[in-house]
Amino acid sequence: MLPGSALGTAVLHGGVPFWLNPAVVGRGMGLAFDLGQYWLGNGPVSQSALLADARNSNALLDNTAAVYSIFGPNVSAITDRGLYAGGQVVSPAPSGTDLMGAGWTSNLSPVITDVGGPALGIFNLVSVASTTSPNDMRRRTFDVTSGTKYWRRIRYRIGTSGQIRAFLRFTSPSSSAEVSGPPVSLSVVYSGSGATLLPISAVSNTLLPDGVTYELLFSFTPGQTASLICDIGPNSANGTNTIVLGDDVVASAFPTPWVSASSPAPITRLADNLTIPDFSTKAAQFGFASGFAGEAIVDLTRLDGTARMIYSAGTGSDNYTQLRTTTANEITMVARAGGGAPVILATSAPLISTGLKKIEFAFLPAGGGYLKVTGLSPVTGLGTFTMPPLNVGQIGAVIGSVGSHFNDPIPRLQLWGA
Amino acid sequence: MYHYTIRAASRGALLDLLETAQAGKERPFVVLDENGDRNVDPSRIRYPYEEMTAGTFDPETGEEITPAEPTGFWLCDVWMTEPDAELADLIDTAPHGLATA
Repeated sequence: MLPGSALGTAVLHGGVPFWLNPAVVGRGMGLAFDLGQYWLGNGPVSQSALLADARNSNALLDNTAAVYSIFGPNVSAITDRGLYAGGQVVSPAPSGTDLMGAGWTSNLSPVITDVGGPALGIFNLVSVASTTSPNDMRRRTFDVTSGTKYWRRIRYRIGTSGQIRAFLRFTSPSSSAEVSGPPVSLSVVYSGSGATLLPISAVSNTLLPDGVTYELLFSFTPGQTASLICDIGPNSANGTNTIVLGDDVVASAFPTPWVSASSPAPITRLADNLTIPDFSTKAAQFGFASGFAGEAIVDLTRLDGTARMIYSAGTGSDNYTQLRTTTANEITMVARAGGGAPVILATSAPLISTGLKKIEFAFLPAGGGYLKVTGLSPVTGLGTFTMPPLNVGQIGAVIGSVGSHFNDPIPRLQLWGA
Repeated sequence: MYHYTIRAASRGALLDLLETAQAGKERPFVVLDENGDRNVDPSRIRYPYEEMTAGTFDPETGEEITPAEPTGFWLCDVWMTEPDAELADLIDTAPHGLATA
């Protein structure tokens, strides 16, 4: 566990929060998203003093207890896991948190019973029991696109069947793929051209912290653009059941937090646009033009070889400072001014594990910049450079651009004049 | 939230329409991505996608009766916190505009 991580304490020491780097006091800003505490200059401030979001849709995020919350438009998705700076993703499937909701039908004759809720924040508990066939299932049908990766995420509790069946099928050509069985021994089963048209990968099944709910997650990449039948049931034929909390399908290259709520499809989770308000004023106040240092704590859930932005500041593609991951799974810091050659310092080796990582960095125009990352050897030698105008400060996305959202929790970020 | 659906004959034509509607606004609808390519503001606009005909399904079983097919047009959805006259005008005057929702 990292000092002051999400499992750490938030007590004050002489009026300064435990988590705050003393260098911030009087010289910078600290954002402890996981603790809901924010610091500017010489004292605590409200979240709105250091964070603004402009996202015209809801966003969903769970906490360390796997309990989800829905964050409305322009409200940042923050739990005790940290701030989730998310890009845009779309769910083609309706009513992902309620199997009684609009868009659901039944195949054959399952017995469907609303057994209450909400559970784990946003989910309705629905019992799906067979009558005489393992094809007695709850059903949705929606369009999918050839070559697009989709992630299906199901939360369920073991009922009297002791099993789950997550089923996918194209009508023409008749092809199916499913993940089914008891939680300890789930199997992937294909029929027809299923292995070609609905290949399944990355199957995981996790018992959540409540001790009774499982989360089944897998990806599939359709081999044709067509309507997809998406069923779920108890994998039994004798009247036994399973309890389903939700069933989410998201078009994305990587697993995302839940997208589909109790609403018609498609559901678009728009991208976050997270900025530090009046950043130019703050940067001037703390002398960032002469150099600044910082600490970020990030929670990497995957090392997928993509460039993902943790923090950036500047004016656009010609003038910026950046801290991000690289396609080689390294951490790198980059400075560029006036459209000149970027000055780059990267870790000398890639990250080899996921989890909480503390990143310490310094942008020093006169030279001496450094980069220290949990588990990797520190590196120095950013060299001399011209500090770009620091007009806008952005968290979890590229300054002046639209891509490379971090798409993982950021528990902490601190910046101070150096 | 105000929702506008824009329709055009191609992805490029959609971006052209949005650029027309963003004239004079502080925050553009069309921005450059990190590769320098035009794209929509992903905080307010769903990335352009191909329009499909509505498939038909058996209401009892969900089995597909008529498959969905591409129409050849492109769509994007725009969500705004305030009404946007230019987007509304665009929808009213564009050759393939759709109604607001």
